[in-house]
Amino acid sequence: MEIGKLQRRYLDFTSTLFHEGFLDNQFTQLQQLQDESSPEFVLEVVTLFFEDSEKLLDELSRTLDQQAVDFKKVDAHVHQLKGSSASIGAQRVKNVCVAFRNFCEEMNQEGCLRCLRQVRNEYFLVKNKLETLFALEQQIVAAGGSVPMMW
Amino acid sequence: MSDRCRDLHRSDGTFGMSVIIIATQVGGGMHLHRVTKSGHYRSARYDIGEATDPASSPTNDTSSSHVKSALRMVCSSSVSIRMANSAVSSRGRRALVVEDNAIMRLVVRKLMKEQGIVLEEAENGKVAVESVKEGKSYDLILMDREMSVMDGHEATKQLRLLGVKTPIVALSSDSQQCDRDLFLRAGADEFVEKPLTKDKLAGILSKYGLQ
Repeated sequence: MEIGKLQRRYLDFTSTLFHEGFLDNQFTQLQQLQDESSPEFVLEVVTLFFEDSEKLLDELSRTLDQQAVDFKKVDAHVHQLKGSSASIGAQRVKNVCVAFRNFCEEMNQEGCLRCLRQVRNEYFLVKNKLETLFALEQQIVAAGGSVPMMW
Repeated sequence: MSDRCRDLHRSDGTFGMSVIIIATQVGGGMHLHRVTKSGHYRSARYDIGEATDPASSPTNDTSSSHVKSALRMVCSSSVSIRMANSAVSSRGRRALVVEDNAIMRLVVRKLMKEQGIVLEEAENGKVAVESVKEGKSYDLILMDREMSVMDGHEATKQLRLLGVKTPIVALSSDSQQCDRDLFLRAGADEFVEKPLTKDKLAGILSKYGLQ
């Protein structure tokens, strides 16, 4: 595909991610921090987010599966997930974490389990979107073009 | 120009001109840079061995005897030179981020690097307090609220009790007024909502004279 078309596709896709609330301004902040001295900064941060989140989701499943749920532990994990998702601009994941923490405070296992399903869903959606975004970037670079920025 | 350099100038009556000395270590040598009273820039490179030899000439001899006198005085005295590598711009500004989330620390690390600030990291309040007890000092402390082992409120209280006067900026994503008040009562100077952005950090650095 021609570079111009790839770049337009990239911009349209990025725009959709923001419009649909998958990403917020914090993601733009990360992109603005990427430079010649750290050309893969965004990828580095997002990769860490993926690793961290999947560990936390597994831990949350295990903790909520117990007979006597340790809601403090659940809350601690959700707090971490909220912080990580906020740091990379994964807005929808972060928003579910806010509701999730409320259920932890109420010690509402049913509510927590519902949130876990939701946050897992949102996480894998945004992961898929970000992987598509990075693949588009690679295609542009491979075609000899430069990745356009939204700002 | 460091205060030490100014003191050198005043204490040595033989110094006949305004001197700014910035010593950088380049490949084992030292560079002295100076600005004369008339505003001219001069620099000279000295190998380490030449530093205290009054008869030596610098590798590129553009300096006057005043610079050599200064160099001998500095090398022989107990006054320490701030040695930096070729990226001198940090000016020794040091910050500590106290944050349990590794991803957030990664972002702050990059933000601080952009500003030329040397950053240390502590994953909870206890590590931060221990750092200070070990004698470390900082120009700025960014303190998260919720952390295991020791949270931000407690760490702030303990740091103030230890006599730490450094600005402490509390960071939290839960910005209820009671949280802010609690942090300020603990001794924080300010409360900033997470996540930390370039603009927010620039504002903090500007406010505390670190930009």
